[in-house]
Amino acid sequence: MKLERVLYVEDDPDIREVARMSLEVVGGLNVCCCASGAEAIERADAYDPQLIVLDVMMPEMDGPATLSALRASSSRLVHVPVVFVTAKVQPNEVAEFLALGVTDVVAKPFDPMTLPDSLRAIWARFSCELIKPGRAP
Amino acid sequence: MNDSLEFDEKWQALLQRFVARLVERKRAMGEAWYKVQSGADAGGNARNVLFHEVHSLSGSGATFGFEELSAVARRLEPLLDPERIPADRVLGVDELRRIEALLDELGAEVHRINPAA
Repeated sequence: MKLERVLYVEDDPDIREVARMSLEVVGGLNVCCCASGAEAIERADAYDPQLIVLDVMMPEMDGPATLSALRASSSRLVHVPVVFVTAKVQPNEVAEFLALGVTDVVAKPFDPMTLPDSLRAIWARFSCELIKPGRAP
Repeated sequence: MNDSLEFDEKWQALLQRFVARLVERKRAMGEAWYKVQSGADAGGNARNVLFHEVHSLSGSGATFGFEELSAVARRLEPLLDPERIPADRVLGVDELRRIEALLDELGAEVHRINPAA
């Protein structure tokens, strides 16, 4: 299956627009951009994303809180892979994020020309893991 | 319009908007800092405003190619981070001096990018 729909949650309007442009114009993806965790929870189920990208540090509801709220909000979001975008990419910090059930971490600032390929690579790796024998969906 | 041209046009528009908004952001940081350093920030709201502006510049500066802006903001961020410094804790004189020095540096960097700021 091809990656087509990405839900992107980022509170900073400049970075959100750069991400949208990168994923739509460079990557040819369909993107649903949300400015907060609360907005993501409201829109995610209807949008039915194949991949969710979350900024880590957001006011009110940060990336980890948004992740658990999204998982709890709809049964079909439980197994959607989630990528965190953050400047916190020290090995111990990444390990903490992965322990939360995050599929991968993308370093901030990202290159808008390569972000779509990075997400596609993460998506492809996740999809391969899914079809391995004995792996729960 | 081909993708490359569309990307370039949108990128230029976003870059111009980012640079233009620096004027307002520097003003907002100045107002918040005035409240913090003058002790008029009982609930920690101004420190929070300051932190979010600095955090935002730390992330978005380098995205638009302003690495030095992000670098200064990154050094300032932990001094204002509410996760490290609870809003009800009063900042010490040394902490205030360090924040002020870095804010000056950040302000100079903003001005270098947009002389109107």
